[in-house]
Amino acid sequence: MTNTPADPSRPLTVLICDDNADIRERLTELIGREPGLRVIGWAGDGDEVIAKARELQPDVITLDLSMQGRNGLDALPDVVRAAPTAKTIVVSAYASPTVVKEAMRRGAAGYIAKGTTMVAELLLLIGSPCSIAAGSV
Amino acid sequence: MSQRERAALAPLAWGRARRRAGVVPRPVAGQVKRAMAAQNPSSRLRVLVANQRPHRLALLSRVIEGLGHQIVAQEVVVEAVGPDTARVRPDVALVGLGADPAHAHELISAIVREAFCPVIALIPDYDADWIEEAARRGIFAYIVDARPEEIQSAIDIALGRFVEYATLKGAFEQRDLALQEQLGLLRTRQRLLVEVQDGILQQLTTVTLGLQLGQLAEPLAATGRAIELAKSIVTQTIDDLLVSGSTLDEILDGSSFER
Repeated sequence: MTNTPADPSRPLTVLICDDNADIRERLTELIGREPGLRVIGWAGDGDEVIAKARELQPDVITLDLSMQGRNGLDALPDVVRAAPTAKTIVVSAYASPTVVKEAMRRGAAGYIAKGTTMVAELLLLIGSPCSIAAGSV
Repeated sequence: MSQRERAALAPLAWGRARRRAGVVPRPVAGQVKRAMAAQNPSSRLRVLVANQRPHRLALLSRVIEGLGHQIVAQEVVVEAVGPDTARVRPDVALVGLGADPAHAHELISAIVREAFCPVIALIPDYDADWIEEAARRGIFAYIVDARPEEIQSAIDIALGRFVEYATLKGAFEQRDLALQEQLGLLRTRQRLLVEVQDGILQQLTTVTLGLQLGQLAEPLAATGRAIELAKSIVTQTIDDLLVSGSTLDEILDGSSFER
């Protein structure tokens, strides 16, 4: 399953939600290296990502779960409602099967555990040609 | 079965029946103290008597008064016995089996719902099914074909057991309270642990993303192993929290850490 914009020449737009600013910056830079992707917004908690999703209507949303304020799992259904055409992908440190199952039940299109291959996995899920091969580093 | 054995049902059956009904009242120190005082054979007890047959009720009341106790309520109808029990708060209640066995059961239920005292059933003949149902509804003892001295003996036994039961129940409640406190501390500790471990993962993730930008393969692989180790710890801890009753939301947003 890929997210294809109506205009194939238009890059897929990405909204990144993580309460860690360092992770947001690095993800932005790595995703920005992909020719078919463009990061158009950032959010630091559940409420902010809902507002940004509604405003920007991105093609892809990366959503952290553990955040101060409203957590990602709680916000997930509202994120999906705010941007129904977007593919919302959870990017979390929590790899517990219970958490993964609950996130998928609440509308996540994919689940990636934070780690060395997370960007490669993210690109695969987004459907972008992957410049960082999983497991190559 | 001896008179005394017949006179007393197992206190545990009484407790189970009341717990199943979900109406176990909290033992109140004053009430237990009063029940303990009532154990003294010379004590004048406040007794509630109930029977569907008025003439049997009057007879029983005379017997009880003849034993030196005070009748605080005489009940015939089910609708009145509950409110009256709550109002007079007897030391002991005696329920006689009238014409309709079900009516006596209803009387027992109504008294047990409102009273913190032993309820004793008086029956003309041994009837296992009726006694079983009465025990389920909360009687503490029963007497078959009672004579006055047997009634006094049954009251003494029932009150003694009732005090033992109340004391034991209080001890169990204290133990449950201590266990709940320990569980609360354990949950707090585990949630703090998740917070710290999550911080480690976030830091390692930051490092690994930076390394990817610099294409430094070896440090990245080492970081990856560290993340996998830390991840397994977090996963295990979350599962432990879920098992112990925390919700995912409590774990994820950290709101419960400050409680």
